[in-house]
Amino acid sequence: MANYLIRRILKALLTIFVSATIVFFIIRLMPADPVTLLVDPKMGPEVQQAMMQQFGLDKSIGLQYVIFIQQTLSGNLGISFKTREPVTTVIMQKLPWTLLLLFIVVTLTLVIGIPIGMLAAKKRDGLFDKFINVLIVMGISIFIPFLSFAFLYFFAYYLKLLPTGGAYTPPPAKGFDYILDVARHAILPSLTLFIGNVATIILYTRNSMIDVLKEDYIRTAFSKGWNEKYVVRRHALKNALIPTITVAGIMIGSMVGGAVMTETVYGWPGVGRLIYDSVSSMDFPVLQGAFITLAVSVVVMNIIADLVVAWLDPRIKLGG
Amino acid sequence: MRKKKNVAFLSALLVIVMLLITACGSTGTTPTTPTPADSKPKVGGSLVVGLTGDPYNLAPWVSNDINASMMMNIALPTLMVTDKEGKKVPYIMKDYKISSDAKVYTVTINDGLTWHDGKPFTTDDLAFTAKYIVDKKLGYGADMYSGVVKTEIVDKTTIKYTLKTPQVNFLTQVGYWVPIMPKHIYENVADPMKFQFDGTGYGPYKLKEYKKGEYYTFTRVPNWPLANNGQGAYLDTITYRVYPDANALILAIKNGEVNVSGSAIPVAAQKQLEASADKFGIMRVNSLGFGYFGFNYKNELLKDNNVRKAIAMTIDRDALVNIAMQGGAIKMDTPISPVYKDLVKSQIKFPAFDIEGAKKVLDAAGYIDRDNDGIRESATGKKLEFELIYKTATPNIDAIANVFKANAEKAGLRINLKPVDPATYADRVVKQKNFDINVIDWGVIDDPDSSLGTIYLSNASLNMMGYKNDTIDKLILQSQVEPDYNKRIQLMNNFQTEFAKEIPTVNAWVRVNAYGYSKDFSGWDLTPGLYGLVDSKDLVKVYKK
Repeated sequence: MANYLIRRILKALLTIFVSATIVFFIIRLMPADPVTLLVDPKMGPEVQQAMMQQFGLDKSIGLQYVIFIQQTLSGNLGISFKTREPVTTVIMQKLPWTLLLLFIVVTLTLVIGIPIGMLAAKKRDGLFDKFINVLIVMGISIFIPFLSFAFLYFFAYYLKLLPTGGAYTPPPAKGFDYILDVARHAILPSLTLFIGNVATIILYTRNSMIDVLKEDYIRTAFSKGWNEKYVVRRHALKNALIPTITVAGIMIGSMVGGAVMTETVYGWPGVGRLIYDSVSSMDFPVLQGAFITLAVSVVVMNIIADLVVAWLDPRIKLGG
Repeated sequence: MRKKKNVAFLSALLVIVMLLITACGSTGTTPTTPTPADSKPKVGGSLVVGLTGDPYNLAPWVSNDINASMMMNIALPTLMVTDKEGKKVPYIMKDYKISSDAKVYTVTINDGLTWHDGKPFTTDDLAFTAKYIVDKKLGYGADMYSGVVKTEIVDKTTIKYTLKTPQVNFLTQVGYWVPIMPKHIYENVADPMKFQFDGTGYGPYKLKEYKKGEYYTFTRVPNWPLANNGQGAYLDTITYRVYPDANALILAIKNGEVNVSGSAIPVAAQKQLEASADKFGIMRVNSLGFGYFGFNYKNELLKDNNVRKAIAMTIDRDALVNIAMQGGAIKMDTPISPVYKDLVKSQIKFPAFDIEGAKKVLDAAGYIDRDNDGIRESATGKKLEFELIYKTATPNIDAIANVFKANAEKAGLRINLKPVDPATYADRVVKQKNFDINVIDWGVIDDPDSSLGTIYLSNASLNMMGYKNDTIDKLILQSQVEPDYNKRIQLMNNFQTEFAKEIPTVNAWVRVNAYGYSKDFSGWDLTPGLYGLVDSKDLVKVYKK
């Protein structure tokens, strides 16, 4: 186990290093640079050159990369071109909002998705299963920005039940009123992300449960006279959940990087919105920081998912 | 098992609570019904301004970001503002004198202003700004103050700037674009690019609290001397909120979450607000910028004046402003924007829209369709086929490009449309100058009688066309140093005559900037300029009905 963990951590570090390198070069493959993008008649070439120096973009790509790696290894993600704040500060301002959305969505997705998936598997080919299958196809294929605009139009504009954007009404209220205000603002982005993600969880749980229910040991359990509910919960569920846990791990990991489209449409001040704004303004250090955060979270969640899966199924030998 | 039940119960509870909150909160966001008649101006009320971009930084000097400048202009108003004609007039500055050689500027600021932390606002701050901004190469302020060789503080409200060479637009540029820096804060700051400025200003509102990317709340400065006869602005607080785009902003205005658009809104969004004319109003003003089609002289065919002239004659400005831009612009057929009335009285115009005339010009110059494919060729067989590059982010740009293409093709030219993202546009047009014809919609080209050099001088970095015309250069440079306004008008007339002959660009439209507001508030006013309805000088007059 210890050997396995050490090996996984070393692999994870390598993955993060490679991701950071790819991110560094991909960002610099974008045409132009943040200074040229300004196209401002008020700004002469000398000032533009000074800005390039301040941003460190006057150096060769190789030198920029060496500085970037050195800084990253020392825990410094650089200074935002846009706000002139340390990137870690910028990301830490946004991360709690993304984590809040993530917590709500993941909780709802697992708590609602897993039972529905199980039920659909138990009633395979029945009316409920067919209905769920239609919903799964819709949920997986729906275009998230379209869904977001539809929700905004219906709930915010037409019914005027919910706010159109942001995470709270500024200036923020105090105490419980603030919590209620945030909850109201979180409903539409959570619902949008929930619809996109729950379909995947239902699909994996349903298909996996169908496979597990065909296993010999399940037939044996039934032949012992135990009722269906007991067999499913006691014998089938743990094994059926293995693919679901893996998918949920990836889902959580990638959502730490923010749901770019959803956060942008709803003006949710999380990491996704930060990425959107940073692409528009070519804020290289923030983009690098956001993608490194994303890479770290995906890698960490993968390790956790593997450990959980091993715990669920003792037949899986870690590092074997 | 028990734990699972608990999780399920908590989650169900969370959903129920959210639904209950939704139901309970329904009254909070409905716009209030406006009172039928305007009440008298009074102090009180809170206004929410919607922006379509997140201000980069609280220090407008370091970011040159329009959203930051717009928001901070109520805390850091500039020395000069624009009047209804778009002319620069004193605001924080009380008066000014220019020496006959346009090298010495004597500026007097209004008395009684203080920084929001209680320190007096004096000419020390003005002198400090002029030096510090150049020493630290801070944005465009560094260019604008670069000509100052000496500042002399006469007293607490009077200062003299001495310039290296005559520059007639010195004050209208620094006075309009660069707010004054607090000397007592910045004098100990070695690296302003890394310094986190707290927003201390000298304007009618001071920054109270903010969360970057989320909101910024300002409170009224009581008895601010330059507003409403010394009683200060009317509104108690002004909060800026950030929205991802104009559509989200309009939704928020209609939902009552925002009371006024800080950023200009597109035509379709204006129509949405106009549909509820009892609750919302729209105010419109001509932009200080303009849109043009520019020709790259690196292209051998476009280097020929006959080709440029013929293309200019295919541009149907009526179709551009009325159809492509849905009435959200006015025609511009003079090299200088019609917003500056004195400068276009001469009515020197580009060649008029005349497709048959364009065909004749091309025929006479030897561009004939020899292979009957609908595209003319030069004597050496080169087809008159050009790429039109434009930024997809520009409103109505696809329609503009298509109107251009359709008319050019009627005259026997082929136009290939090349819509690109802003970064690609900047790279190809501004940096590499690798294009045939480009479309650009300048936001602000102010003081044209003295500032056109930034885009039209042969050696200007924004002369993307790459043209060279000594007469045009000479006229622009003469106008930059000519202190007499009437003489500058004459120089600009000569410039326009030469420019309309050279045709490096065909200037075609001036956007009409529109801003939506809630009729729960009154006292709105608008002049051509940078900040629409939320310009400090106008916002201080707004009050809650």
